Amino acid sequence: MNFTVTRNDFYKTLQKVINVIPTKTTSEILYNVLLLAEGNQLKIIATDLEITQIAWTSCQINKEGSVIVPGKLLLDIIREMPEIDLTFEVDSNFKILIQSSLGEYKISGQGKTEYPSVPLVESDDKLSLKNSVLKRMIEKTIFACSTDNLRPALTGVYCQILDEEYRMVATDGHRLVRMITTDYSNPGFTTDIIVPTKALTFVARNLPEEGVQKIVLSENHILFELPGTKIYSRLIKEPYPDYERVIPADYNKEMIIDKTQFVSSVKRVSLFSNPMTYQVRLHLESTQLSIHAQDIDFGGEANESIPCQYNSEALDIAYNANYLADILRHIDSEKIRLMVEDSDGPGIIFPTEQEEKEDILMLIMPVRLNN
Amino acid sequence: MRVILHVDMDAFFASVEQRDHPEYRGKPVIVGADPKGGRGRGVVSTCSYEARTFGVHSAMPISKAYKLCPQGIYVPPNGRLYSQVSKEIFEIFYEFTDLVEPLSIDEAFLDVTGSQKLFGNGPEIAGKIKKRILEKEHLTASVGVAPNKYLAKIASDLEKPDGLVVVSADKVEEFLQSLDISRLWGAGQRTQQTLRKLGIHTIGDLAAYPRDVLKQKFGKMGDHFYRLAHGIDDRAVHSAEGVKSVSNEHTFGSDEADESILLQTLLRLSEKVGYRLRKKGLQGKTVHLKLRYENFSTITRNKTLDHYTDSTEMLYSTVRLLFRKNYQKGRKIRLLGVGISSFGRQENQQLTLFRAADEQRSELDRLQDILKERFGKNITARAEALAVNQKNKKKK
Repeated sequence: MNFTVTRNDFYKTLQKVINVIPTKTTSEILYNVLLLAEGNQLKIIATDLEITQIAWTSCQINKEGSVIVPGKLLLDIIREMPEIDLTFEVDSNFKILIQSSLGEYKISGQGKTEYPSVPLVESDDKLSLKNSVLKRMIEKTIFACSTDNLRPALTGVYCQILDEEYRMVATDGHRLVRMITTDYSNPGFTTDIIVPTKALTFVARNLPEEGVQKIVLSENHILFELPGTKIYSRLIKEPYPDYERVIPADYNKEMIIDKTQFVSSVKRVSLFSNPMTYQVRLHLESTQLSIHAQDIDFGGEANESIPCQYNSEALDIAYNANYLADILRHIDSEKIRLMVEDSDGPGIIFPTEQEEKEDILMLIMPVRLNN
Repeated sequence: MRVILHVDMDAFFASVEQRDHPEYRGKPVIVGADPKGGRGRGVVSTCSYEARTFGVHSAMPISKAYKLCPQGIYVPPNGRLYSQVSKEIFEIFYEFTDLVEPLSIDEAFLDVTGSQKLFGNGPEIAGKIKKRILEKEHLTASVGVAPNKYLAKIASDLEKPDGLVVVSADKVEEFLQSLDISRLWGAGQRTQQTLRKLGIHTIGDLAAYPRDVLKQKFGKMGDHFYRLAHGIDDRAVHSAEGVKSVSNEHTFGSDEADESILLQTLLRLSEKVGYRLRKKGLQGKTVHLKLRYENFSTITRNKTLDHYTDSTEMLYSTVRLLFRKNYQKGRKIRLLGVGISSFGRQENQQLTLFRAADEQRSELDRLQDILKERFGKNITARAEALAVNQKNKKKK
């Protein structure tokens, strides 16, 4: 194997895949990346067994071949190089010789036989989504996913490909986001899948603003074809909870409030809350919302009031301030609408004005008030 | 919200003497040192309510008691008898919960929060305990039922003898309002004097003082007083054994590598641990898996949950996760263990969306517990867990 590539092309390509390498794994081989020289392309592949990412760049291939190299080490070496041509030469024992105008460097590689193979995703189930739409939906949903693998289904985003609309749903059991777009055309099939959060994070990072994203679905995998890179991910094959059932159909109590004021107030007041629970207590009245937090153990306490419009008798309800602030941060409109039924039931938050062809609903569960 | 009972036997030693000596009943009985016709040097240990009407009380010099009540029946303490009776009474407590913290031979705190599913709410449990003590020992006890130890202790003392006082969580301040500051835990004569000089005579008076002022006046104790005045006391009931963890292990008759059998065993162990947990009224946060291969190499792994649990389902799904992450497939296993530790209780419970499913599970736990209580430990098991039994039987 022998190829010549400019430092920048090599660095950018390697950087795309480097985060797929797991930080901790029992399988040492996964700390490596696979370099593949074919035709006039250099491909770099990284995998954590769940997600596989391939990135490529065109370069001068002097002799085709492959090698696996410790990924972080390679990145460190290339990072320190100025923008010059680098020639990689790999011998039959997988010793790598890097040559540049500055000098020579040697590192050891291994044969690719040990390296997990790239999943084969061959399917006619292809879906197209505008990059801008996909990016927005990922950004607005993944924060609500669970990080606890006790319930694997909740560690991913539930995607529903329906006749008239495309939906993404995320929940950790305490809050939930449901985002619907009709800015999409049905690909000729309907289905639902759960995509791991980590894969979507990588997708969002590599998505350009413009253009259309092609997504391929097979029985167990999803493939995102992005400019200069492909991201493969295993799907989470678990039943997703019946989320529609927990979204109440109608509500009587409704509060409309300025979003920016609400967020700032929650953030300030939450600094005085108990650091274990982050509990803030909302007191809703017809023209005013009071936000209160207290930390009995350390004697901290805060109270703020902001104007609102509320259509029912006074109500006290408590939330984890972090969950509440997370949700509010992801709403774009100037004002939000919060709908509640009682102190123990879900609160539903909408933007007062939905974007065109889009429907966002956020749901938050309260903290039970002790008395 | 916790439910704490403080059970205090009424004039314990004297009542035992009156029970065993019918001729003492209705008379002033004073258990303690020999009065030696007024020249005795010891103190009164306990005296009957009849003696108390003469002004006699425990810890009083016996000579003084003799002066107040020369006609009293003076009895030397029979320690062995009292500890025997005490043991029997504590056995009654353990019928209702394992979270029993003895304060002395005749009083204890009981955390019955987790026992309510089986035995009814706090006041009901208190009533049952009183009834059991009366039936079994022919003695009376006074019980305080409250959200914490401090309030329960005060409550049990208010209607002695044979009292039952309930302080509900929403009436704490009301309950404390008119109580004299001598009821304040940690306030000795001197402190009480200082408080009274400030015009603080009742706990209600004290509650009106800001925390900062109390801190200035009393230093560290100020904070303590502030909390007590507002009925705040989050000390846990520490059971006698000081339970730190609950666990069960199973050693296979012959080493086992069949994953379905291993998982079924984990389920059975989770059921056992869950049952013991609920019986003890405990909820834990850290779930442990112990795994010993045939060559005796042993690994233990644990996972801390984001909430306290006593659910079999939760235990099982957590150990199953630990097992799948750590078990080297195909290797034969000699022993499996499931455990839980970091006990506590969720104070402000974050509610969850998919609650209905969780509630169904705890309903299943509850039913299984009741059946076990009534018909013995082997009466029920989850179907998946039963499969392993069948298989084992076949082997034999």
